[in-house]
Amino acid sequence: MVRHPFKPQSLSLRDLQEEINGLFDRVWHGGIRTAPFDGQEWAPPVDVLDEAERFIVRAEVPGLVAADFDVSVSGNVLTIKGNKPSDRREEQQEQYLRTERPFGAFNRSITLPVAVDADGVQATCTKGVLEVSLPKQEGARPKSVRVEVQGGQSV
Amino acid sequence: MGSDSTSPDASPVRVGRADRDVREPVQTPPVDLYETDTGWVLLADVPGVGKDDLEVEVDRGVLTVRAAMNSEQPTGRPVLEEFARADYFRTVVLSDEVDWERISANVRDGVLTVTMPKAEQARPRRIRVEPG
Repeated sequence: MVRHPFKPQSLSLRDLQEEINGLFDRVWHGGIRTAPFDGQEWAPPVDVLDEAERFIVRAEVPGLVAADFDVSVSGNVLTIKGNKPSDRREEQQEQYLRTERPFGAFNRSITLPVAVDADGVQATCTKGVLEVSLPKQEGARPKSVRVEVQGGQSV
Repeated sequence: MGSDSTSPDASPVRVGRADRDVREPVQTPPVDLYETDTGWVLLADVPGVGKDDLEVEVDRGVLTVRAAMNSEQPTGRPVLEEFARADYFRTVVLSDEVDWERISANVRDGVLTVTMPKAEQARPRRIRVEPG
């Protein structure tokens, strides 16, 4: 592709900084996040919140909608499977100037601290974030017990 | 670096990153950038971002995309935290080949699309003066 670049006429320290940052970004987006997940091309980052009665699990899944997931629960293990198909166009291959966004199938299992009620699990997906609500099993919910503190004489 | 015309940065649309002038923590969303017959298309993964959270502006030839992460306070105890808690920020350096006035942006399912049409050929062009 022949193109007459409209580049700045001189290189500055800032250009160098951008190149270095770009290198870090490419390495970062290229695999570090997804590397631990046994050979998968990527896996969505996950947040887990422990609320008193339930867990909230959120996964960053840009470009995906509810129908793209298979969410299952077994005991205290939540499994999220899905596939993020590439939206890159074959015929545009040489025209791509940047390709940083990750694609591919993923399969993440998250072990929760206590058992959850599988029948009460609900999942929604909006704005590229999957949210799964998992009610804790009755016996696993925290019991609130008031403890009386016996005070001695203050010295 | 230099004048390698196949390098991505030699194109009329140069993708930058979190600017050094931005002091608060930001995260750099991964982007795809491709050229079509009529312009360039930038795609950025910005999960959690809706239309109202998004700011796209062009100033002196630099397109800046900024999107606020959902900042609502967590309602429970964090067990696992892999999300980056920072706004998305990315800059794109545009040349005169881009029609700045007609840039449009859209966000859907956490993916931002910025369409940057090519400027009319009639538009005045800067002539590069070769050294020597």
